[in-house]
Amino acid sequence: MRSNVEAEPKSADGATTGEALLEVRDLRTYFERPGGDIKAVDGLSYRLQRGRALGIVGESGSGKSVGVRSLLGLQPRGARIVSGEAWFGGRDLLAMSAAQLRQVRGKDISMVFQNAMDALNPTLTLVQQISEPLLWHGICGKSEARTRAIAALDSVGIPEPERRVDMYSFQLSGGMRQRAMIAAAIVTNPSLIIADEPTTAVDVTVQRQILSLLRALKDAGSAVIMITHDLGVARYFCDDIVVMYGGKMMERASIKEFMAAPKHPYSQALLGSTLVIGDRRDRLTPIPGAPPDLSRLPAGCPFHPRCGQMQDADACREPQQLISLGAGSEAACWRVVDER
Amino acid sequence: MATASQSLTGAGLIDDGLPKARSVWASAWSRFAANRLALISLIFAIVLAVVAIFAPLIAPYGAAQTDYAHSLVGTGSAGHWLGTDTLGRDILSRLIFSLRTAFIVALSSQALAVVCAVAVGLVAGYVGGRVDQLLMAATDVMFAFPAYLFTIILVTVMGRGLLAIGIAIGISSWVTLARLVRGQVFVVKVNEYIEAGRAMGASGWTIAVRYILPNSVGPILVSLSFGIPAAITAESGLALLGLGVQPPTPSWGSMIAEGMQYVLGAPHMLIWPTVLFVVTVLAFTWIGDGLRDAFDVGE
Amino acid sequence: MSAESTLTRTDALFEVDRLGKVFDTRGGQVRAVDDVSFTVGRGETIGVVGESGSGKSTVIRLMLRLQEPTSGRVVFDGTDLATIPSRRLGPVRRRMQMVFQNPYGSLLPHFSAVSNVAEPLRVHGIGTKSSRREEALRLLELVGIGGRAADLYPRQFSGGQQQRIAIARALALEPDFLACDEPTSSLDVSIQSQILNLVQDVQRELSLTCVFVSHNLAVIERVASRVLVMCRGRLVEMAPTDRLFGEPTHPYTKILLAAALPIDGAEPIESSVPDWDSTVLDKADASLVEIAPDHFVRIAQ
Repeated sequence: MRSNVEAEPKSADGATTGEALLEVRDLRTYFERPGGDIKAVDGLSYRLQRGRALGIVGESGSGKSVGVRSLLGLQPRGARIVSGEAWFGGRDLLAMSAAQLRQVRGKDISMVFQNAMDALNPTLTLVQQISEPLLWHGICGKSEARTRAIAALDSVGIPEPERRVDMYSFQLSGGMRQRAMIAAAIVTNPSLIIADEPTTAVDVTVQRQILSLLRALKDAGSAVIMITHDLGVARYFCDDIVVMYGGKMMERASIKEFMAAPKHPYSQALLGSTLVIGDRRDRLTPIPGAPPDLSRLPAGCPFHPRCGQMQDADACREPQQLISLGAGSEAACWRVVDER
Repeated sequence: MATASQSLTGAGLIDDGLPKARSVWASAWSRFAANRLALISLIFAIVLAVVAIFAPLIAPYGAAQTDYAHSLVGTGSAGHWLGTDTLGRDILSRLIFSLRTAFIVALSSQALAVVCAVAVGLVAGYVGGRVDQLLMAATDVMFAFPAYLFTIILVTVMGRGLLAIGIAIGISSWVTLARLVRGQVFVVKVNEYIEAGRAMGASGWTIAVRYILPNSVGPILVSLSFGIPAAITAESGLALLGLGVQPPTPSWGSMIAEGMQYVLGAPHMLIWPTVLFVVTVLAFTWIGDGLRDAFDVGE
Repeated sequence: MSAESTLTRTDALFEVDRLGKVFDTRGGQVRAVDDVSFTVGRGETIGVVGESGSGKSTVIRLMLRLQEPTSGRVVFDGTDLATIPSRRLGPVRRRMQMVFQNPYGSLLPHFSAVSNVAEPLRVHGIGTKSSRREEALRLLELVGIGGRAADLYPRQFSGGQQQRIAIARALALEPDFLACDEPTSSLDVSIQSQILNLVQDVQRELSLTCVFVSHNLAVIERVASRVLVMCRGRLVEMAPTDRLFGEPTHPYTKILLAAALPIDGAEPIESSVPDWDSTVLDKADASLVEIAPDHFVRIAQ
């Protein structure tokens, strides 16, 4: 654990990063094993400004979830953050002690999870849960916390919040539970909200409502990191996107750029395999093969065994560099250079 | 977890990249074996079992072989490594034979307990409804009986033979396992492969015995490995009450009971049975822990 | 014009007539399925779409008699399933099989892949041990799991591969009918297309009749020739696929279409999802009205 938590962060191009709310540099989180480390996250870097939404997209084994959980020290048991920096508010999250991280969690950075049933405590009433971060961080007293909890429930669109605030989470419908979980996350006005697949387990109509809610928070100034496997959600909600595969970053771009012209072969294949209403082709174009087994990753580019565009296997077996394509876009594939 | 490696075609499986087939049992075994304590305990238990089976060949003396000339001889004496008791019987040999007693009692009691528990637990869990309520009411009645008292009553009725004691202990201990099995059946029942089994037309019997039971084995094995020391302890307790196996068949309990009387003059009579007893119970407890971790750390 | 008469087809494999299922729960009675009627023609693939609580999964379980209806009836190939006693269901069960949502959960974890696929044959006493194994291996090759992989255990496969094994197993008894309950919902996006291609190939080659349940409209549009839309246990709209997507009529159908987030086409507008209170469905007195050939919509009287 390094001790320079509060050094002045410098961005990759040398200038100081005043505007970025969060800057992650080369995050690596490994599960250490005697036979060889499982590199769940192997070199994740991105920047996020206030009021912007970053989508981290990937499939099984991509490392998208472990990546953001590492920021808050919530990585799975047995995983260790091997290297990297995460500059937030002038401090490196990855260098913080557990006690320091506890000060940040729930106050400056909040998390919204996939399954509200699992995230909310069934033995606590909503007011108890939502007040908890306020009271714990000493932001206000109990009666003020209750007022804020009611206001938070109201802001997420739960009707009759004064009545519902004394209910238990299991008394609410699925969609309302998800909103209640978001209320608990925003009651302290965090500057960064991390949402880990918040709409995967809900109906499509509820999904729209949740995304509207998150968009309102974004417009009010919070930054959002949204983990998702659904490119439609990323397109609708996010401003920028990072695509991960096998623990590595494949591409980073603005969402518009990405949707119009994805650069990395994996991004192209992923978009190509996504179902679209109105698709008249006789057969779909999936990505052949299976998601990577992190304990037996191929050399170099983790995607190359399944890559339909692989022309030079030797070049693919080399570790790929992130090649900058201007305007904040980059892709980790040597072929991108050829096409520029 | 190993997944088959990738290729460019179809499902992504190429023969030479494939791992070895690893069944549920193989996975559980390797988890168990990775636990040093559990593994050593298992080896120890196997050694004990071998000793118990070949007792007449291994023990230097007979269990009832008296030698009044060398009675109450201490530890480390010539010809009697662990000493002798009041009648000159060799402690080591008696311990070896008492191992046999212990295993017979433990295994017979556990075998009976498992058979009853699985039958009742599986039926109650799978059929559910009224049948379940009825069976659980019956087991509750049994549960209400203090197990020890029940064992004593049974022994008084059935006599003090080895098997009789084993059966008595088994009868008073199957109830808890039945509930565990039933609980596990409930957990397994909601898996989609059970519904898939019904969809393909499998009979209730097939589903219960071929699909549910093998996946409920975890708690059974764990209960077995804790049940063995429990049965041994129960027999020893009976022995202390004078209701254990008939002498001269040696049993731990009776050796400890005798040893207690001579503890000041001949402590070795108490020490060695106690040490072996404690170590054996610990070994099985650690095996049980290892099994629980091996099966619970599941999918 | 009563919906019933126009729904009867002579080439129907399934006739579902006013099917209803009520569950008794601690919170009271739940109408999982209410007054659902439709037919499934031989060789057709019907899509059933709806959100959670729509009853779509219950409907196919009622069709396969994995659950008993509380009202209405299911007629399979001319026979009312309710008239067949449980112990005689075997031969009927052989003709209708199902693929489940959770690929790992639907396979027996303690059997190898080939044993899983051979199990339906064993249950019905078909062939010998070695002939069953051969047939299972053949089916696995068909779905793309060949060679030594057949002896691996479910845990050793990825989700998409597990679903292939499940599909092979469903085909073992050479059924006439295949029910698919969200078979791609728990798979990675890039793998979903693999499995959908496989299901379509299988369906075409073996002339299977299918009912495909999903909450994902794009999936339904791809596989189904006719679509049933369900909400709160009721059938609200039923039409050929092109018509349903081109001229959605029921408010709920319109909501589902508006709420979808595509990766191409027009950007969905924030407010494009209309408001509609689904509890209006609980009021009785509505029936399916045929507003266009083969296009039915539930309209309150």
